[in-house]
Amino acid sequence: MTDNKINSILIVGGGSAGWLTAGIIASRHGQNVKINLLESSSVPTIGVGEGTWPTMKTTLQAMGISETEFFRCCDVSFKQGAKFCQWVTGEKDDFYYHPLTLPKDFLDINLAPYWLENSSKSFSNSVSFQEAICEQNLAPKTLLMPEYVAAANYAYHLDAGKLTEFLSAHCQQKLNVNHIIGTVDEVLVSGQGDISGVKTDDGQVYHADLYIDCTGMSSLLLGQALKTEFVDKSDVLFIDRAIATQVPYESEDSPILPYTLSTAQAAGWIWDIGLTSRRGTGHVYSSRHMSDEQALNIFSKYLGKPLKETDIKDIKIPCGHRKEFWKNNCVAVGMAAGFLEPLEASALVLVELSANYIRDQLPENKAVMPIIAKRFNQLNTHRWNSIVDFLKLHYVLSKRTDSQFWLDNRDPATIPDSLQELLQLWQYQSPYTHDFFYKEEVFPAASYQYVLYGMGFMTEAGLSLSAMQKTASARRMNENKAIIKKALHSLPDNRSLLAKIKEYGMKAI
Amino acid sequence: MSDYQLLSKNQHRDIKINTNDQNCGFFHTRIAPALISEVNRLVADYPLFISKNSQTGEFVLVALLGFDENENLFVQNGEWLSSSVPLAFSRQPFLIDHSDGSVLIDMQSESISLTDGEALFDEAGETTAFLQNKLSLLETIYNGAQPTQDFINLLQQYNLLESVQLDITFADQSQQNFDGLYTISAEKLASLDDHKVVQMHRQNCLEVCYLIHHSLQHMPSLIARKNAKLS
Repeated sequence: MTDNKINSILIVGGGSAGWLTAGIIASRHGQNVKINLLESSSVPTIGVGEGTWPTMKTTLQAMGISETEFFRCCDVSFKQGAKFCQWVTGEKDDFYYHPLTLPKDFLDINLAPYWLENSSKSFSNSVSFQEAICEQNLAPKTLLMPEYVAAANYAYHLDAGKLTEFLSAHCQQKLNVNHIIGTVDEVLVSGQGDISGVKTDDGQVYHADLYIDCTGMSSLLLGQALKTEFVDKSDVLFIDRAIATQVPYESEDSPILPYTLSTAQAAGWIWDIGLTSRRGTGHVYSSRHMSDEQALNIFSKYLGKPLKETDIKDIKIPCGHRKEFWKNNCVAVGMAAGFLEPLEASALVLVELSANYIRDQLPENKAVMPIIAKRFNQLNTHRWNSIVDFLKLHYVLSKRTDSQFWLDNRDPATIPDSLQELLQLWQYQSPYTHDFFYKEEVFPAASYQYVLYGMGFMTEAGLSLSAMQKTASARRMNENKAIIKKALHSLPDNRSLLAKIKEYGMKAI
Repeated sequence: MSDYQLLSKNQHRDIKINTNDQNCGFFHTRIAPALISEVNRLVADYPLFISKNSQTGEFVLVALLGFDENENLFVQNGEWLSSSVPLAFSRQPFLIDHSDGSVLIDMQSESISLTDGEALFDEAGETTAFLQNKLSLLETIYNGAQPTQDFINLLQQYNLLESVQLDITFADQSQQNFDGLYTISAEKLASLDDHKVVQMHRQNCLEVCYLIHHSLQHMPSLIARKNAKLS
């Protein structure tokens, strides 16, 4: 039976997806399974994925990475959530937060019904302390806390190019991943539809028991060689273009925002991500609703300086995903599997979730591979659909009427049935744990609450709350007020803490 | 505020140090840094921990003196109640510059006087026995800093530190839980590889580990001091 074991894995592609996948799988199987990563020397990585989910903490820790090293090598800063400006009315004072810390005692109590009856402050400010600390540009932890430990949940902003170099070095030096450089010339497919080898332009052919396609949008293995159908989602999510540029800080003590700033525009939105070294910004828009020239003008206006086409990186976003993600002996991770617009930073978290699944379910025997593939496909179809729903929610709840883009987004014909159903449900009850069926949802019920109530969606009070529920909810909200006060007093300025991490580092314990 | 000046015979010839009034500001501190060379002395009185410096996050060896900020339960009416005083206090108002070994004096210290106390220099301009004694303390501190740092580094390298969770309820029912204190894990120390144990022993670190561990037995008496103060 030994010849039916998976003894070797070939990861094709050396971007964030490839190296993350390599690290995640190798930290568990690196001693028993030969893991090769084939990186093209001629295909540049896309390198704009600069926001992560809090899951990245666990992912890096499991790979044995020192968080201090990671901060130092990848110009990392803290991300405590997203601040959405001008998404609801488009007015100047229009903003809401989607923080990464769950509402207070979320697993014990749903505070939304009580807030809906007694709302005076924003939802996120009433149930969490994170909006308050973000508004003051404070860090989510102090220097006394060990690596990966925090007072407020956080994710990362990072330099994507530096991340791949950092992971590449770690995977090779510590995790036994073998790095091959070569440009893919041809993907060989057997009569049964399996991949039988990958040929590079220097004539070498690499074989493996499992092939992982991390070739980005080109999807060389799953898409091109195995001809897996592409499911287009651009009828739901209209964003199909991005223009990106890097901006220096005005001065050495300009604040580093501890959250992703997302500002809605006439036909899309602008991201603004603060790293320790610079800001990364981009304007994503719908080319069906706006010309490239208009988009460039809006972006220039936002940045307060005229931009030339040479200043920017121009990216076409093919909105959608493959119909299957694991086919025969080939599984795709990252943009080779699909891509949606960057709202809510779902790209890297999907890489982590997919790679975790492959790591945990790596078939003991090739005979069960089809079963694992089938389950992986079911799970991922669900995940992509729920991400599409969650992203669409941000557009559906907008009240903006200033352009066809926003009007079209609210046209029921563009809203998936699954989302319409949820919206109908949420008119009468707030999203909570019952609405979600999978253990590892990409976006938890709390995220839906933050977006719904941040954007002014009203859930009608159905059954009135019991006296006990009211008391319990009021107590939590008062506790939250006290926590806000304490946090504002004890947490350091984001930029100062990042500088100290660079200078002194954080301790492992 | 401190005003540290380079100690010089010319400039500080007339200065005296008032040793009677020990109730100076610098005694009011919850923790005091300690050196491994004084651990065998301090272990008679104080619980010793490894703590993080709030400015740098670096680990430092400390003696725990109290619970509230600026609370030193070992000093009462300017008198030390313990048999040993950490060098960090007895060196005062002097300081040694660890980069070049030069001796500094804090001219803002409350113990500095022109009339009362111990002179630093005699009429001939020679250092007095009092100052000689201080200088030798400073030399001990200067020589002890690197071995202490090496010890802390070794604890981290061998992964011997564990965080201490202190949840204390005092006599007045007030509660204190503070984190940021670490000790040496007896379990991890016991399971250390043979060659590492020998290496630690040769570097005089093994005994220090056990002494630090042993010093935790002073916690009940420190809590008792606090309760006595509260009542």
